[in-house]
Amino acid sequence: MGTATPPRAGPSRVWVGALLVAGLGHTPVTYAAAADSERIATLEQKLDQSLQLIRQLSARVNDLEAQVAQAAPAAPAGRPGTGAAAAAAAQPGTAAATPPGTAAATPADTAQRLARVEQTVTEMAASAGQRAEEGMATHGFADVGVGNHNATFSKYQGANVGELDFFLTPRLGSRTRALFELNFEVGSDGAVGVDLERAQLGYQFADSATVWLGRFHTPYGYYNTAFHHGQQIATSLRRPRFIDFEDHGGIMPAHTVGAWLTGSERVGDEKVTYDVFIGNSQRIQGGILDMNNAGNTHGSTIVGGNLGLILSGALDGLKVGVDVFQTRIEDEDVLPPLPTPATQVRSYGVYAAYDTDTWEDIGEFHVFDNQDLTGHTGTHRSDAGFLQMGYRAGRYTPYARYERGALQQSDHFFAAQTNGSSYYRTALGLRFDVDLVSSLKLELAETHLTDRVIDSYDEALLQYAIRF
Amino acid sequence: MTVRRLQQMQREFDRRGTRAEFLVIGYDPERDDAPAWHQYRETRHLTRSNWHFLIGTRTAVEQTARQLGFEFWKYDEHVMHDTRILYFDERGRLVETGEAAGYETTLR
Repeated sequence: MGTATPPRAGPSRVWVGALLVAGLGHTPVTYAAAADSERIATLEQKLDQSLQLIRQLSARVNDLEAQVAQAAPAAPAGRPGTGAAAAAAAQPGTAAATPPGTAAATPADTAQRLARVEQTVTEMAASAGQRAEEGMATHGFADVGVGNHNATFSKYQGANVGELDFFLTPRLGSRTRALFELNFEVGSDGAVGVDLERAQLGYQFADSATVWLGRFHTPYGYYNTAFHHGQQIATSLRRPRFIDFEDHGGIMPAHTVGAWLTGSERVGDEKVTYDVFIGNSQRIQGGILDMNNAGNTHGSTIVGGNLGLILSGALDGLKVGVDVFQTRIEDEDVLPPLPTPATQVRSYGVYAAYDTDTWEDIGEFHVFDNQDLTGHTGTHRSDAGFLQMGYRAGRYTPYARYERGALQQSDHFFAAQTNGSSYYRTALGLRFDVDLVSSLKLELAETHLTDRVIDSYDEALLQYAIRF
Repeated sequence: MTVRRLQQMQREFDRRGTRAEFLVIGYDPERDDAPAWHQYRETRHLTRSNWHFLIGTRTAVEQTARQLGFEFWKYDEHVMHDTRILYFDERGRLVETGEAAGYETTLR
């Protein structure tokens, strides 16, 4: 952003600011990306041209009024030719000159023309302003990394391309909403793939209720809807392993294709948030969860909800909540003639997030109460959780995280997933904001696998993440 | 962080005996309503009468921001915005625009 220095301020009193801020501590606060300055500059240029034209027309109107005021009184009607004498006094060659034989412009005519000019200018200004509001804003994120392991696919090491994430929000109206997140990312095979991570069309009935249809981030817990695919937004270098995105090995359904009702309502000084959703139940394919973008073949659904409370007063910045979802998930990696294993997955979660100018602390804990629907192994209980604490110190935000998944391998839902093994991980990290739109993150982590394979590995990871 | 800078400015103005009005407009009216701003002020001790916190409709906020040259966009709950501060003199003339760190140059 540029800085201009006009003449000095007055000595005794100044007005300081128009400053726009976002976030009140419990709302995550981040900083700007560049605007569509070219379009705005073009619109401003057109507006300047319009204003210039108005000035010219106004000057001409003033001339005409002056001439009318100075001209001899008009002859009574029925005496042709007299008006032409007054018209001859008009400046020849100008558009406002009255042709011979035409009656001179009266003050009423002038006022009418001036009113039309004003209306035209108003319409042009409104149109320019409206065009500035229409169209589709395009922003995005990107990240690259290097480390002794790939932060997502630990079998790799060295430099890696993370993702290029485009965030599109076309302006459709005062209440109609749309949101698309198109992600180019490197997969587990090292190839670049394209994923329509989010495709939501919505309508805001009120501040307290918005309906979304399409593919959205499943509203369980806190992290999955607070942080999306733009890695620059998050304090940490990566998501907790068990709630990572499906194609990164996450074992919970991070995306749902269906319908989602969300909103908030103020209750006294606190605010209650809610989410209710229903969508296609997921499946396991290739050892990872798939959200069935095109629907599923058996009509099963995932249903769930999330209820949160944003506190105030001494607890300003704290949000707590509970969530639950249930879905039926089939393992399509098991091919006929074997029966397709199916599990009813039921998850109960509790979370808390404390987000202020100084602290960003997030904790989630999920309990799984899963029922084997086909293998007759009964019900299985598992759990997973994480605790992350970050301290904002200017451009630096050190953080620490502990995460753990105790996932029963007798539960086919976890056994069938590549990353469905139990583990725990400790991590220390540091985020450095290079500037308003880019961040460097360093993370040192130790991961322990504790059931399928007893193993551990250390990681030293560096990430450079930007937004635009 | 930007409000912290404004608070630093307030202390500097107090030291110099300069009267200043601080105007803050929220980017996110859908989330930051009047009670939320009230809480914000209370918890950060921004209760002086010369601090003014405004909210408006989404359209009004966007238009105001555009007119003042403040660009911002929203990534769900996250608001991306710059940290510019505008300075007006007692006659309402724009004196300077710049990052908050640049305010030192206007205090002469």
